[in-house]
Amino acid sequence: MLRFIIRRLFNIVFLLVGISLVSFLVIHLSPGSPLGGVVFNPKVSLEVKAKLTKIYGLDKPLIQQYLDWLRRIVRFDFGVSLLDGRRVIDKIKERIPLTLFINLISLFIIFLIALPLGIIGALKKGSGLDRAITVFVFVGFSFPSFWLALLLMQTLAVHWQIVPVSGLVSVDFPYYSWAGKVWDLARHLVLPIFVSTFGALAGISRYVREEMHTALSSKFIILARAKGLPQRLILLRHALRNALLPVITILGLSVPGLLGGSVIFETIFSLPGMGRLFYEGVMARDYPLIMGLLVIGAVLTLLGNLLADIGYALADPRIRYEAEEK
Amino acid sequence: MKHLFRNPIFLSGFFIIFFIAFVCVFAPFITSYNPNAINLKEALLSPSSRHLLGTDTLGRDLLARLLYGGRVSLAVGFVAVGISVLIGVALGSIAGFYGGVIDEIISRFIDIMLCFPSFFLILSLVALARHPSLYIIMAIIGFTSWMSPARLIRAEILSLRQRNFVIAALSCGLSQRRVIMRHIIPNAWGPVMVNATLSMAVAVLIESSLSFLGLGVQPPQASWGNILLEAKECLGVGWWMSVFPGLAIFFTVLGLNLIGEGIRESLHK
Repeated sequence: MLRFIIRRLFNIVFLLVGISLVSFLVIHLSPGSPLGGVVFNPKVSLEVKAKLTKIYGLDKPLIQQYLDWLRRIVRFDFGVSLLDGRRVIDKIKERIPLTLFINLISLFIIFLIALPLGIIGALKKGSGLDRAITVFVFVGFSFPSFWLALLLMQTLAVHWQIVPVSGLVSVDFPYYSWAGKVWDLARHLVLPIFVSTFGALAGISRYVREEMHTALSSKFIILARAKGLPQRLILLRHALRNALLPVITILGLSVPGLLGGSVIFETIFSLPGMGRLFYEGVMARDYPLIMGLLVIGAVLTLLGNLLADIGYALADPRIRYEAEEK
Repeated sequence: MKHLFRNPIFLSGFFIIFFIAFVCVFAPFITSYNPNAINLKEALLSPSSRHLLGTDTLGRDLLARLLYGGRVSLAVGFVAVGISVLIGVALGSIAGFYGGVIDEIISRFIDIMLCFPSFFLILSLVALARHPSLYIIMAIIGFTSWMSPARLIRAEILSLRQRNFVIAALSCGLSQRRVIMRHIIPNAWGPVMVNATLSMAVAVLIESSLSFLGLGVQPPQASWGNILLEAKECLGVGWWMSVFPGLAIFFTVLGLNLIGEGIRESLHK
């Protein structure tokens, strides 16, 4: 197990270097200067421009710039935001918890719904129920999440006024009691969580169905049936355990998609999370912030992959032993 | 091919996409309204026989905007996927066929690119492009989505090159380039087509999301995404503005997904 983790860590260091290189090149090789609009702003004097160029080290050779930048980002120092002069990492740090919170909750709900849907689909493959689930999956796949958000806002929030339109808390939030605060938060988060769950649910339940079907048609299940094990045991002990392995992986791999989705629903619902921060950065052309978020987003993705791998290795003895033998 | 046109999933998707593409291409014959003609006297009219799908806040005919906007969405999806498949097939087949160091470099590069949440990467590039034109958006989506076709074709080629007909072709003295182009790629084409239609669905979604965030197709040029953005800005009035463009996106994406699934099914037969 230790060897397996060490090997993975080597790979991760390599990927981190690659991520930093690509992020750096994306910003520096594109037309236009990393200083953004400042270069073309006639109100900014030449001296200030020269000074800014020097501060950001833009007069040095590209390799030198990259190494300097790398030296800073390993300490998570992404510089300061062009918008308000605050440190980029501070801005990101205060926005991460909300995004993680929403995504973890929706992952949990996805898992809770996708598992039974997939199992039913696999067990009754070809039945009316399976077809209905398949139709639901295709509709879910094709439903643009921002349209869903818009429709829900229009009906539930504007027309019937059951839930608030947007934002994280109400104006008079500080005056609520403890329970009132929780209730207020929940009311604000219901739509965002629903939207972010809906988008990924279809794909994952389809995936569970395929994996469950493969597991159910393998030889050890036929053996289990032949020796007369009860259906419940076959399902839970033998089929599900095998089908779950790839599902663990897919949950880890869904991190980049969820982060991308966060940009959309956090922007629509005006939630102060990482996705909305990214949107604000893009609108303001705040390059240090964009670069910081790009790197953090990639690191989170990598972390998701790593967790998936470790989870897989813990759950599947074959991989563990194979790694130990090498 | 015979299988394909007997597959109900493929056929339903095909007819949906054919219908949408047809009405968008022949838009001038279907509606006489100019999609950008502002008529404030007729702002926010609900659907009627005069304006079949109603009008928007500036009195522009919604049906006309949908049809002309559909041209944009379909074109972006098509070109973006063309770019990504071209890059993906080129890099993937080089990696798969030559193996060794070249494969290692390309595969590691794919690994690195896949670490970025693709929507983050796309938004960063949009921010850098300053004033994203239609072509730049096509290029950005294409250049950030070639990784999965590349991986796919690499895997296909790795399995194909062990097959007897490829070994035979090579031992006949055919050049490697010819073997790749004439024998390997045509055989790997099916899975790539499945991937391409599914990624075109994703590309249409990405374009409309970008336009909905105000970062894609810029008004007055219509796109399904930016009509929805206008609908969001006058939330609560004019339900037709938020329903019809969304339906258009939904059916386009659904049609493409059905086509992809249909091809996949008929490949396994």
